[in-house]
Amino acid sequence: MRNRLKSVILLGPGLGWLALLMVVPCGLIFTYSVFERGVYGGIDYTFTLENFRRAADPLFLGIFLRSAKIAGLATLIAILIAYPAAFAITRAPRDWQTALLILVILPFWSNYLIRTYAWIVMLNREGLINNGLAGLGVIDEPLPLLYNSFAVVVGLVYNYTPFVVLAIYASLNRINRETIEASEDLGASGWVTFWRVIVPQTVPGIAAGGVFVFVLSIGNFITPDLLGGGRLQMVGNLIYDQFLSARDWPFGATLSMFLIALMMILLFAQAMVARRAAGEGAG
Amino acid sequence: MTVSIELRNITKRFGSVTAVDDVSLEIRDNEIFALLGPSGCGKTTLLRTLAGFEVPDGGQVLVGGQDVTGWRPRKRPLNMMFQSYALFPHMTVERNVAYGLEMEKRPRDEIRARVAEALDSAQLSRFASRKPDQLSGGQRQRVALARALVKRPKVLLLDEPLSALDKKLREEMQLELKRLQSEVGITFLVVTHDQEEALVMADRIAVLRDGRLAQVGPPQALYEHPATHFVASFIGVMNFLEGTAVPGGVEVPGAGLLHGACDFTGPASMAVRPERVSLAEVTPGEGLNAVPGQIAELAYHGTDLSVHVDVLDGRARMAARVPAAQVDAGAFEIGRPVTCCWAPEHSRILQPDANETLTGSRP
Repeated sequence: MRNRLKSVILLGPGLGWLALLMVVPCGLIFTYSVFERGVYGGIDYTFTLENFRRAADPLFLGIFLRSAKIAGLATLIAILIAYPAAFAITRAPRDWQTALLILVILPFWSNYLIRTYAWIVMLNREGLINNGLAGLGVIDEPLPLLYNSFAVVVGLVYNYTPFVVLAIYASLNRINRETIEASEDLGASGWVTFWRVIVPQTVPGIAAGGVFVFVLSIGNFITPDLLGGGRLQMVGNLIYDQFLSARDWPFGATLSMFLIALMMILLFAQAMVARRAAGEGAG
Repeated sequence: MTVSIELRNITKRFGSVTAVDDVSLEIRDNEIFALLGPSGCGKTTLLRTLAGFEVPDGGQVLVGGQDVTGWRPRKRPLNMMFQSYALFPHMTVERNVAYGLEMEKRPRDEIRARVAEALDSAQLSRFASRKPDQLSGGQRQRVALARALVKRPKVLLLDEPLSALDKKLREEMQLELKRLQSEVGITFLVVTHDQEEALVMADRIAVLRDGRLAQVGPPQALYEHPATHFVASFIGVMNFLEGTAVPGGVEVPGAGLLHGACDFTGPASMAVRPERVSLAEVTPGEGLNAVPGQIAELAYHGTDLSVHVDVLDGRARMAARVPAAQVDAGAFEIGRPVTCCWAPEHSRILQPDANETLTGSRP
């Protein structure tokens, strides 16, 4: 009895938080999605499945696919950048590791918007990169770096790579170093050891970091709005517009449902990977 | 006997700490050799130097007469069994064992045949497709052994091979490893902190202390004729009485001259093993060393009884081991006066260890 009380007290705040800020909003979204929109915004509580039919329109499907492509690309690039960085940090002397990790998360000390605006300064026609390349005589015409999917991917990669570094660092750190030595002792070169012993043991970290980037990227609306120049819509922008511009809450809710479902599937897959890995590491 | 491994003046420092200090050793073909010492004595560093994971600051490592000092671990004709076993958690037992052969780029058929054979002789065939986390500690240990032995190395290095097992399994495995070694006919080099394990398994033992060799020899020699105070106290249980060495024995204040072979004079310890000490109610006749005292403690071990006796008016304590079969009911009671006796040939007279500055240590 005492134990149950203890777990209620310990779990209470977390569960309350989840209930209030996850379950209730999700329930609301789900409820909204099956009603009609009010004439002047808001909800008209008449049951309909029209929203789902509309959401299945190829136009919106296309936006979903494009968002997934951009998020996927950002995820891939983030992993490719983060892995060597995380690897280098685990190889650094002990006292350096903390300092390096702080450097990794240092960008978060400044505001997301400011960091994203900084990229506008960098990628502009008259920006740092174009001017620099022109100054070196590499290009005659400014490159179209801003207000396209390239800029959006750059922004997403920049913002989320630190999380991937942390996730991969954590899983690299959990590797039993003797397995690396054993691989070498059994005749493997450093390269073979990396691919056959180190990388497979960090799959959970890669999955956790990757899903994190993908989920945050596909629902993101600030970066595509600022760096994509509004011309390039991602799901996040679409939903944002439904709620705030079109005032079609039920349809926005329906689109959100699709996005949430996609994220749930990914998180579930990642949890499976983590569970398999946990089973392997146990005992 | 041909020499399998030769270490010449190996020195290894970590910063200001000298982990291994000018150690020279010869390990023969086809023997079980144990590196024994307390944690931080440098035994693991020595083993890692041999495997190639540490590069010595001085000295040479020779394997089969060939200087391998600068060689990468993967080039050396030795394989190691790690303390944690270091099995690859993402691979099945079979893939773990095959790994080393795949690295040698052996033909597929050969790999399959040799892995099957290795699993069979380690009684692991049933577990071939399991992952390491689905195995017991003993099974994991056998996988680690099979993985190293399937490469047919000239020397197998074993780093605390049995420390992760419980006592009963450990005792079984000590004999199992001995049997295995005589079967495969290669040199085993075992690092252990467990003196009993070294005594049971090894043909020869090197005792290390603070990065230096204290004594090298077969188990009986180390046990019966320890060269230093440290070796005497580290291996088995030893009684010490402090005194001054004189020709013919040690003059112990309060006990007189205790006889024993001695070739030096000056401060010394009279040492005698508990099982060499017998207990008498009256002072025995000439020819035996005798130290009277009072029974202070009794410890029953099943096979025998340890009788701890306060001697020299409580300034020292001696232990005697009496076989349980010879203990009469009520023969030993706490507080009863007894005399500890032993024959001079069982006396070991040792100089105090040079008060070495402890160089610090690494586990």
